[in-house]
Amino acid sequence: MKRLALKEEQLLSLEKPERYLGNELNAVMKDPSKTDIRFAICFPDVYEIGMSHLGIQILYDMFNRREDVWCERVYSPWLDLDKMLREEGIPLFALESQEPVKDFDFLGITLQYEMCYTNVLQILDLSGIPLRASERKGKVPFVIGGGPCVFNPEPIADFFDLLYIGEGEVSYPRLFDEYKEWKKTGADRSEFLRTASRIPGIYVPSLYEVSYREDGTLKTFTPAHGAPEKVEKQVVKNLDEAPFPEKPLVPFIRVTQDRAVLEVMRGCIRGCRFCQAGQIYKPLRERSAETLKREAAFILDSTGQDEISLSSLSTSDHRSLKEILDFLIEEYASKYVNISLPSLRIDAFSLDVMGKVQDVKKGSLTFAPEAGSQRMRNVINKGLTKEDILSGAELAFKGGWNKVKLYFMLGLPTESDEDIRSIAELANEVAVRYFDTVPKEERKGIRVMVNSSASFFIPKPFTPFQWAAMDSAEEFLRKAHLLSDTFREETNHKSLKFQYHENDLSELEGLFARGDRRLSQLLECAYAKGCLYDSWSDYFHRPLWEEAIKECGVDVSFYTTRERKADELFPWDFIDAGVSKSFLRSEYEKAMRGEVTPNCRTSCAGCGAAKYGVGVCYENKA
Amino acid sequence: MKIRLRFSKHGLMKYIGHLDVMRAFQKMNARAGIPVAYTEGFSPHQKLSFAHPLSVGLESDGEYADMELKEEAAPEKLLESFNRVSPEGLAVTKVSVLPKDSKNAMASVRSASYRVSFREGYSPKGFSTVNALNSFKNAGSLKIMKETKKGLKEVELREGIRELRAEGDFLIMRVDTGSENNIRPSLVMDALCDLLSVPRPGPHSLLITRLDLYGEDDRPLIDD
Repeated sequence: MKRLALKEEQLLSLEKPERYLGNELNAVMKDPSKTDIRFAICFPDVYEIGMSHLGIQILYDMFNRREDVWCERVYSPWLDLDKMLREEGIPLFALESQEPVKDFDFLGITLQYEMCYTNVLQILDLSGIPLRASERKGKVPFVIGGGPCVFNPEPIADFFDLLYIGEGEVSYPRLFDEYKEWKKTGADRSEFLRTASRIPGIYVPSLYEVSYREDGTLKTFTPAHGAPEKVEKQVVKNLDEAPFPEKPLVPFIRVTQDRAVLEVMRGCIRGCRFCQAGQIYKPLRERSAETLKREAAFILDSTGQDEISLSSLSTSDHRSLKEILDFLIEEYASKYVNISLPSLRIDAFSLDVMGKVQDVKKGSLTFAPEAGSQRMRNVINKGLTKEDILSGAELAFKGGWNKVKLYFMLGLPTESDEDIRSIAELANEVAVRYFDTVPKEERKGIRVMVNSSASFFIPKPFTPFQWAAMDSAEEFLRKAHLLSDTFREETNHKSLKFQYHENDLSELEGLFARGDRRLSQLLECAYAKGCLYDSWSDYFHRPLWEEAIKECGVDVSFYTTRERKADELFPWDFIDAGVSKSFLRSEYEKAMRGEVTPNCRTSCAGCGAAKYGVGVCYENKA
Repeated sequence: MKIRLRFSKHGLMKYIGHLDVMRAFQKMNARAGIPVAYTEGFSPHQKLSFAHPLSVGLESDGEYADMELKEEAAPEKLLESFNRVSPEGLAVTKVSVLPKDSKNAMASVRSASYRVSFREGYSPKGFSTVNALNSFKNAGSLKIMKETKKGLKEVELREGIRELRAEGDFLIMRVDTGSENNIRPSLVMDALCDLLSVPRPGPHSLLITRLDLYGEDDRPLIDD
């Protein structure tokens, strides 16, 4: 049995000691004397969330296939362990070896949402690594970030030595090779950073000088020491050849996504104008049916999971979906494996499939119209008409479902009160369609339930709405109340439920999403005051954040409610994400006119992602 | 066919709770291709039940699970299959075929044996296994306040302690276990410390290993 970082009685006094053992099935143990690079890969949230993340599993597997690398995991210590580590002076440790993170060569942190930023500081702090990259000297790990938030890394840039823009599969091998070379020479840290900055996709924040105009906007963003002017997003060219974790980790405790995950494709053809993922993962690339069948068999056989989830941004758009599902139903449904299909468009085909793999009576169907009026749906380029939604619901009701979930957003650009009220009207019409579809004698006393929920729209970098003004917290609340009231006035209000997500976080998320380097001070200040686990509503301390904002003199509205000028230089403009700024601007202008843009398969909109030479851009040109 | 397995739980597995061990077995069955039977209905689950939950922090040589298989299989083959896929610290030590009409393991448990000692450095001054044993033999009864659903209640442990002996620094005890009367080994330790007028063990200061589970006939659930 391996030596643990904590004593038994310490572990037993924690709420869930299983979080900190590193003994999961398929965890990788190595002899550290036989490896050159120790890599700690971190998801800065609690274990159950971090263990549910596919990206970590992919990189963990890929790194550990190299003999010279031992990659281990780190998650945010929960508050009980946080307290214990501080009180007892125990440094944060990686799960597999249980050795201190500060002795590693790299600490890689995935940045999946802005509200994990204080948790990033906690990881550095508890590890004993200086928070700011500029203060790191000598033998301290290189801290590298990745994930969707690096598409505007500026608010956290000061805390990272390196940031990796794009898909990790591509440039890490070279980064490791360069690191080994550097280590041999015994040169200074800055030497390695300069070398790394020349690897495609690697951004070294300390090599860039930033200046601002008097009005607070960015004036210049200048590279030094041979760092490139633009850092290009890295994209896997062929998903069928990309490394895939054949033996994923299987936790003992129940985690948020407690199932095997099969990534069927990357990217999306849809071009919804609010969606960042839709732009930054372009172009759409599919895994072939052959590869997916093989991988499904591998992961189910090596884990024994009783559920497999087909993961992508829009699984219905996979051209071989039917073949894959037929295979899974044929081979695995008889072995009692559930098939979960989280992002399917509701149509006759998907309902037929779901009827086969789910308990219709218990389940509810989810539609994401995102907006209530057709005008608003055109603005956001959600290629969905009211009739699509209603006929989808009708099919569902005929198939035996009587619960429907509808997802909406409030605060979209150009939104009027009329648009907001039409959300409730649409939900009401869905209920009406139930009464029209299902005769009274077949309802068996069951009331149809249409559950609508609304979240608040936050403009994100690399979307057409990156120029748009975000609503203020007060305006969000007014809109939510208006919508609540409208729901109560609907004729079928007894069959309608409406809830909205708390808006506490939206303002901060909006602040950091389009923030700049000056915000690192605010993060440090909020963390020092005790802000941590901000994405957990029970632990989000609004007053502490307000204090920190005041002390740091941050004008939140400058970042959130201000509409940007067409030619403003954005903090994230140094990234080449494939999608051009001029394309995004034209999409923004089309949005203002309520014009839609067809999806990538219907016709190419010339976004710029074709330069990668792969995926949907070339589907019919082969 | 119905089978019963005995398994041990050591090392890091001591931190894995009862429900998670059940889930681990379900996954082991799938990985090993054990022909386990499933319940009917829209959300079928494996016909698998466990004898008596083991608290987190305890190790065990004698855990039991019952399983129904949809086809015949040789016990030795099954044992081999389980251990091929079992996580470190979890080992199946015996598989036996159950007679058709046998009661399930959970309903069969009447007592459990444990090996108990103080974690190094946690033994209260004045406590020794020999003293504890002597005082226990001399005292007519062993009473303790026990928390029940109806509040604090004084209970007599004496009758429920079927065996108590010392092996060096370890106390070996067999105590009533199951739905009728359930005595936790830590409660016996509390009572013994009271008897010796020494402080009760603090949280997590005992090292406890369950040795075996016994049925109505005072024999282990798998008698070999």
